[in-house]
Parts: sequence; C-alpha cells; structure tokens
Amino acid sequence: MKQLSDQNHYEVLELEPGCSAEVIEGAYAKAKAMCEPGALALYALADPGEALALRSRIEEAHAALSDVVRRRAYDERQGFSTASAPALPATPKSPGPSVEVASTGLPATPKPPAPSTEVAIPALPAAPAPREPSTEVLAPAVTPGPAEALAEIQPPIAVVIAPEPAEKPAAAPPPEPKPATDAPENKPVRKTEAELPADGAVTGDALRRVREALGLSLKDVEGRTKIGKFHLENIEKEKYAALPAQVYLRGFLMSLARELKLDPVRVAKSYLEQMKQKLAAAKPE
Amino acid sequence: MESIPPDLLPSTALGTESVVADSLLRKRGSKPRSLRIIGVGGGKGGIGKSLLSASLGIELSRRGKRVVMIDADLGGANLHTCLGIEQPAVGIGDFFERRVARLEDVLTPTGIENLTLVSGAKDPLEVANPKHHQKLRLLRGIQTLDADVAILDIGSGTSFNVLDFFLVADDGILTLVPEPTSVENGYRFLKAAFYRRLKTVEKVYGLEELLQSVGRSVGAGSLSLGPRALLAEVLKRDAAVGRLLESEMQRFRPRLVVNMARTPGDVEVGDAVVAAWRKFFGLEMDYLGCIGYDEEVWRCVRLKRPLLVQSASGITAAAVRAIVDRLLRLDGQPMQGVTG
Repeated sequence: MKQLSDQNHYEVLELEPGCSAEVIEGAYAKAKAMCEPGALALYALADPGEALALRSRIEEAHAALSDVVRRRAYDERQGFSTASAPALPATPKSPGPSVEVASTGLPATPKPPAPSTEVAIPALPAAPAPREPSTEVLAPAVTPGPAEALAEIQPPIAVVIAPEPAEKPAAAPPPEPKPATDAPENKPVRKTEAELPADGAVTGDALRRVREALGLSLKDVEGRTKIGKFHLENIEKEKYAALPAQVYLRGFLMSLARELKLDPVRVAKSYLEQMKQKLAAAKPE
Repeated sequence: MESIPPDLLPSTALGTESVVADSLLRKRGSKPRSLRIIGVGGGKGGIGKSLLSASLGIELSRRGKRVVMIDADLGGANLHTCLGIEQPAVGIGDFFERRVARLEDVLTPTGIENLTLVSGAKDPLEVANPKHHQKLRLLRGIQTLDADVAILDIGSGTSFNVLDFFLVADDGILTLVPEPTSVENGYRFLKAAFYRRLKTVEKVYGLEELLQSVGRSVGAGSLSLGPRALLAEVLKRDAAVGRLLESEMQRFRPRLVVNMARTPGDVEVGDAVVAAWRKFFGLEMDYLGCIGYDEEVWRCVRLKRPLLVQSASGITAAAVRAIVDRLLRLDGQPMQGVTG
C-alpha cells in the first residue's frame, strides 16, 4: 500500500522489473485508459488533481521505461537487474500475479521493518512455551504464513482462460481448534461479571479468581485463546515488564476476557489503565 | 453508534500477525468452515442485485451446493419474485419478532433442488428497521446455517444495516452498471463499508486514540486521509501498529461484477475500476466478470420466472457460470458437480 509518490516507475504501471517492452506498452495503454479525463472508473473516486498527478506519473514512467537506454540507466540506479529474464510471466492484459504480490507487500516487501526492540510476537501456542518472550521482531514464524497468504491473493482474472490453476493451493485450511464443547451461540457476554468488583479495577488477581471460579486452568485458557501460558501467567501476576507491547497485550486481554465471559472492552481498558498507574508509581527517580 | 462485533467479520487473509488477529476477528468454531457467505450489494437500486443474487443461487445449487438465499433487502424485499415464487407465508420478520426460534424455521423451498429462501417480511415497518440486537441475531443465525452457501441480497444505500450484511460476507460482491450514477454510489458504498469495518478494527486493537491524534494533526478527521495516507501517518508513529493496521485493511477485498454491459468498452470498465480502486484507494478488488445487457431479463421478470430457469442457455446464464467459476476458484475451492 505505497503512496503514489513512493512508487517506482514499474509500480506506477503495475509491472515487475525485467518485463518485456511489449508488456510495458500494454500496461501503459491500460493505465492511460483507466485515468484519462472523464474515465468512468474514476468518477467520484479521484479528484481532478489526483488524476492529473497519476497521469503525469504514468507518462513519466512510460517515457523512462520505453527507451532502452534510459530504462537500463534507471534499472541500474534502482538496483534492478535488467539482464535477467522476467521472473514471472506477466501478461499485458491482466493484472499479473507478480504485480499483485508486489502491491500487497507480502513476502517480498522491499523494506524490512526497522528493527525495534520492544515488539515481541507472541509465541505459538503449540510451541513449548519459553520462559522469556521471544525478542524476534515481528517474525512471521507463524506456519500458515507466506504460503497461505500467497495462495489467498491469486488473482482470479489472470487465470480465467487456464482450465486448471496450476498453482492450486494444496494447503489445507489451518486446523480448527477442536470443536470445543462450549459451542458459543449467543452467549451473553456479561454472565459472570459479578465475579469482578462491579466498579473496581480489573487486576491480574481478579482475572485469576474469575478463571479459577470457572474451573479453567491456565492450560485450558491457552488452548482456547491461543495465547501462550506464560503470557497468561504474566498477565495474572502483573509482571508488566515481561508482557508484550501494548497493542498485542490489549488483544490478549480482550481474548482472555471473552474466554472468561467478561466484557472485553472493559477488561482491557481497566487492566491497561492500572498497569499505567502502577508503572508510573513504581518508577524510582 | 454501535459497530459490528469483531467475531462477525470473516477473516479472509491471514496476516503475519494472525495469532492475535485471528483469535479476535474470528471466534473460532462459531461458523462452520464449510459455509460460505456471499453478499451482493452495490449501493444503488435497479442495478440487478436481486437478479444477480438469484442467478448465483440457482447456478451454485445446480453445482450441487446447498444454497440458502436470504432477502436482506429489508425494506424492498422481492427476491422471491426473482426466484419465481409467491411471497412465502413466513419470513425474516418472524425471526426478528421471535415467532420462530431459528432462522432455519423460516426457510421456504423454491422448487429448485438444493435452493431454499429466507424471504423478506410482509409487514414492511416491522422488518425494514430492525434494532441492533435483532440484526446481530440475524447475522449470527446466518453464520450458523447448515448449508454450503448463503447468499445475501443486500439493499441499496449505505445505512449500517446494509453495510453490515456486506461485511459479514466472505465474498462481498459490488454490483456495478457502467454509468456514472452507479459508479459513484458503488465507490461510496465500498468506502462506507471499509470505514465501518475499520471502526471495529480500531476497537479491537485499541487504536481509537492513535487515529484521533492522526486526525487532529491533519486538521480534519483521520478518515479524510484515505487508507494509504492514514496508514503512512500511523506507521510514522508506531511501526508495529501500522503493520497490524495494514494487514487489517488488506482483508477488505471486495469482488466486482459489472452488469448490463452494452459496449466492448463497458467490459473493460471492470478492469479499470479495479485498477483505479488500487491506485486511488490503495486496496485490492477482484473482478469476477461482466454480464451483458440482455433483453431476456425483462421478459423473465414480467413472466415472474427465474432467468436461469427460463433461459438456461442464454448469454446471461453463461456469464453467471463464468462468474461462479471465478468465485469458486478465488477460494481455491474445487468446483463440485457438473454444470447443467
């Protein structure tokens, strides 16, 4: 989801570096038709200024890529190899698979996320829970990741003619968690809210009490929420330093609350508020 | 304003952060994996949504799928007419008013094998404006239907009731005719649906404050930015949150059908809309195909006969078959049974 100003010439024309001249011409004609003045597809979507900006980027891209010499120079500057054959056969008439992949920024994202230190991805439930949260930064270690994601974005139009989509994703759907006996129909969310102090703050201890009142072990909750046991334990023991970044923590809290039949929004909000207060109070200085 | 609960949203793409997102956005086990919900919308009236719904239903049922059609055009129900039957005695209103316990109890046979209908209500006031909880009950009823496919014929406009039917669908189909009025309403409809979904995502991840601060810094609401610029702003503030937001935005991936195409240029409007949506709104859309203008349509409507039954070998029937092929292929699901 790059902004137009960040897109290179190939991206503007929805092409892959290394494509043939013919493909460039096809993509250019299509792009031009899409955003010509008065084009139906732009109606009420793009204001005239935006459309104009795109038109000029398309012209600029075409001028740079349709000239062999200029294109080579551009490729070199950008670090694209011109010599190599097109990696994927992109057809001019359809948004080729390669383009799709590029624009979704999935596995081949050019810019890796800047290494940050505080974001730990929750370990998978099945993995033997390590004591300390992994410090891997947003590593998509989740198994049904790239392959499945790729399968998801197969563009339909490109394969219309082909009788069989060659790359039929054989990947079985990720296994559903066992059809738990809880079969949650329209379960009212607030059933056991009484267990929590009605107006009071949601502490780790309170969450533990509710869990125990429901007769659930940490392992039960882990199995159902897919949140690692050690995270759950840290939440209950309020070991704030060991908890993941807030954006994940909130997700955990809401999931946990749902499992405990509490109001997810209230639980997350109250827990995080307290965490903030306690952390502030604990600050030495 | 109450937003749509996260567990009602299908998650159609597994992001890299799927552990959290998945557990929140899909209440596991609440919907049988085999049920596929198809929503047919478009924002504007008179563009063929009901007819497309009925045709998709008939075609899918012919391929051996057990299909339930739901007349979700609450204020203007007429799907039964498109299917060639009289207004059934029971309908959605009975479910809303709890005269029946389960949505299954108001299913009406259509005379077509494998195809049943949840019809709209007879009493227009009762059903056209359901309360939030009534709507949620209906949505959950749909999700737990014992069927292979549920098809929602969605009304026009961009009211929350309309948008929510679109958002619960695994395949939300935007119906468009190649005319400025339809294109305009179509984009408006998609944007409204996208932002309504974003509200739920905000709530799940607790992004309200962040997005408000983005809104303040640009001097208008955060929604005035458009998804791409909004995402860029969020990424600047917090890369991890930005990545989450991006993967959530990408889950919104409508399908497109162009209806009543009259010229060769009309056929290409579909590709152009997909490209323009990507360039200017930054999101993906899948073009399922195009249905040509067909004189048979009004004849069948006047006869009150389903088009695909009356004119099984016509151009519209062929176009619908191609659309269904693409739709089924999108999910990597093999086609079942034989056409015919």
